[in-house]
Amino acid sequence: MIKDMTLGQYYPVDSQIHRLDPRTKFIVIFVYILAIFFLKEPYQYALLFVGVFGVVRLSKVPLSYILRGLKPILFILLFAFVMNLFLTPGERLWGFWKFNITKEGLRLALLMMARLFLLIMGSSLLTLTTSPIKLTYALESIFSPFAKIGFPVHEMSMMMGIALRFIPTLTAETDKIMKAQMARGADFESGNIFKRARALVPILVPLFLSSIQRAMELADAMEARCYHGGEGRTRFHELRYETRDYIALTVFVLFFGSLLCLPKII
Amino acid sequence: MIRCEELSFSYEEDASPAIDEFSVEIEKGSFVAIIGHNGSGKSTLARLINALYLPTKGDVYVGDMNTKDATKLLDIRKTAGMIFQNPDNQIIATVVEEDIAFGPENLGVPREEIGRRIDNVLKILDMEDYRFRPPHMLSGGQKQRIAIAGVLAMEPEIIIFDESTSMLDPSGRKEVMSTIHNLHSQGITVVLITHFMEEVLGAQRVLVLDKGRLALDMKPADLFMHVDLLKSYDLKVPEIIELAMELKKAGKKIEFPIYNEMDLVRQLCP
Repeated sequence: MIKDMTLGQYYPVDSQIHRLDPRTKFIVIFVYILAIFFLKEPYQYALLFVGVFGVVRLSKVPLSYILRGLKPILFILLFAFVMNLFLTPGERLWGFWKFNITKEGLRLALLMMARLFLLIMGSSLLTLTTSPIKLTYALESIFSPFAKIGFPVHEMSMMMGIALRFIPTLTAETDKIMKAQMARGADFESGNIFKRARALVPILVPLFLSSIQRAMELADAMEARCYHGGEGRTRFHELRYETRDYIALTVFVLFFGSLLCLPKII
Repeated sequence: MIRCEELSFSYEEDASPAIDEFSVEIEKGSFVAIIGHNGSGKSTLARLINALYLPTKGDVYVGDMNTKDATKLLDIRKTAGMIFQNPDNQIIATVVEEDIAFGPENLGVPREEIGRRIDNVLKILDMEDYRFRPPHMLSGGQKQRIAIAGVLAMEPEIIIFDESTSMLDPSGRKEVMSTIHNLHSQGITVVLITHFMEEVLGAQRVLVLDKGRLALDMKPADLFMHVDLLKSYDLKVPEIIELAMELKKAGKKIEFPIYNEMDLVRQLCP
């Protein structure tokens, strides 16, 4: 059941988006996330949706695969929707008892949903099309100036890379432990939220123990393969800006620039 | 190629030694199996050769490098590669080729050369189709072969297998064992630590460890001569040898050595 979680899992196909320099994608996503908060008009969102789905097509990641990955955050989306829907003051449309749906609330709720949806689509597109290793290379490269003032950039990116590498291994293990505990009569589905949280303890404890064991073995394996920190290390995948990166950046700047300017023109 | 001289090692100062006055020399190009029951010190020995542990007393030499010499650390680990037990816990990257590149990257090998080595190693292991796959989607045997590829890319002279087949299913075990024999035939010195007696039969030399000491040093062909001794070390004799011995006891004319089923079949039905 946990295995179905696709949110942010690298999807290995070869596409124009996959081939972009991870730094390009990183910067684009960063600006994209900030820029989303400046969009106010529904038609801007509609255009952005078209843009994002265009990128999805280019990335060759099946849309159904991405949407399936959004399932875990469905609750947050609905929660934000309902809260905005009922708690925004304004012109009353419909209501019962103390709850009122207002025109402004409806608008805000829809925009908020679209905003969250686009945020998550965008950031999961980044991780879906960039292998974790490349992602950490990008982070290391972007933050490398800070290494001079003693910030452990290489170590941080190595840690991130390993954490990402072990997500599928640990989810598979969680699944196994859950099944083992269920076979012994553990019940994860009934009771109130506190009872269910308590029921997770017999999963978390073995999971933590085995993670520590894994960490020690991995450290041995890395040392045995001559790992000795970032010094004197070469890179098999060196990051290099190519024509397609400049094209992507130009397209992005033009698209977002015009999107942000639209309300002033119309 | 590997020389241990009066080697002792204890995990804690006052604890009884995990390796006790152990001396052995392993020749270049040989295939040596090390067996012993749990806690006999065989994994500790592997880590001592790889300089993951340093001797409490005595010395370990890889080639002519002493593992205590910190300046030679990378050279030692590059010369004596190591494959561990759990395939999941020795894969560092999320794409096969990036994982193979990890060792050479650490050694500072130039980019083009790493690419060439990856091609070469995948060809040797016949795994070219797996180059861009995520390792966690592979079977246990395949993962272990990827780990072997990662070590091979450092161009080692020795590979130490620390119970590398013990977590695999029979088909994965077969897959990895045939890879190991293939590597040996290409001139790599193999140190195979195992508790599967069947795997020992393919080696040229068998070292039996008991309580950190070298208990027996023999050819696998001589295993049958030491059955009682092996049993006293909690080791099982390969089934095929046990069967042959029972047949002999029952009056059949059987000649040793016997390595596999075919050897026995040929003697029973000439």
